[in-house]
Amino acid sequence: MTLVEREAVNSNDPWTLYGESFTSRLLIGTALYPSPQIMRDAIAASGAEIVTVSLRRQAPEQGGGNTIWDYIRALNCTLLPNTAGCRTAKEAVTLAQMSREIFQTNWIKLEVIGDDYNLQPDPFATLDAAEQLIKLGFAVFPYCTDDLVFCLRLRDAGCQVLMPWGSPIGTGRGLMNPYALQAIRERLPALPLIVDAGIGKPSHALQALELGYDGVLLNTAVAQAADPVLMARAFGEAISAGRKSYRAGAMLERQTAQPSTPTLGTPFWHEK
Amino acid sequence: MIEIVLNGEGCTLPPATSVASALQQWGYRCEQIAVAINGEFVARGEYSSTLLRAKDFVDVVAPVQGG
Repeated sequence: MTLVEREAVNSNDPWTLYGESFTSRLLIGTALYPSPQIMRDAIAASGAEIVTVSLRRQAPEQGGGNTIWDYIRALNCTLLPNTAGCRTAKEAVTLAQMSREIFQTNWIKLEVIGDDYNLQPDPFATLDAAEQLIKLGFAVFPYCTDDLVFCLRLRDAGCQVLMPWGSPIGTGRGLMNPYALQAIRERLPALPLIVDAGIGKPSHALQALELGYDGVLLNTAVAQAADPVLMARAFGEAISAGRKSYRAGAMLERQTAQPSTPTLGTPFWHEK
Repeated sequence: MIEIVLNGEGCTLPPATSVASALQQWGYRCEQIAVAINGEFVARGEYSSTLLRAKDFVDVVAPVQGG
């Protein structure tokens, strides 16, 4: 195999979510950007093929239309509606049904928050909602914690992808518990896993991919960067690098130093 | 007239007003909305046959950016 052929093989690394194939491993949010134009340019620069959207109450005078939605549609990306703000399984199921009708997709990013301090997912309500939504024909992308048993139960319920947090939403603190994330990866080797929330820098995203995670979902880290478009590009490159690193297989860590340069024939060396 | 709550705000409607008629009276004109009554989803195809009752809580939502 020539170098060019090998590069082509390495670049062709798609992944599948609920039967749909994607090339980019970055899922990106559409909120918090300084302007709709910057949102559009940043998402394009990121290379993301999946964007998250939401639903909120609409005043009659707005008539059901808004400019930002026109910008999002023009991105021509796959939509992943969320249930952000829901506190109970019932709220999440109702909002998911409303999303399915508006966005014409059975994909749903399931968020059921259990605590306001850290916006931690409620494991019991999330599992309850996931079970109901799967019965209703939804493809559920559950936002969950890095609790292994919570993740196993969501898998058992029929979720074909899991999205444990790196750290609480909007904190940018990165992967707080790599051990827990790694345990999920090892126990569920075949299930697509996405780190969702808490990613602050491209190095965090790269770390997630190096742990063997299949993708990363983020919003604030790009939208609130000083230069969102440049940061979006940086994330795209970091995620690509992280995935290549995982596939390449990192060396084993050692406790002691070992010279890289051959010691045999070292000049000026004399045994004392 | 009956009193209902639309997106958290009180308002009045003639008795036996359908969801379809209420949306029209309120000025919603776009296809890009979805409706729930008392926390239960109401599909678009049911707007004409669903009548609003006194003290109903109506939520009308539309797409926004999200994370």
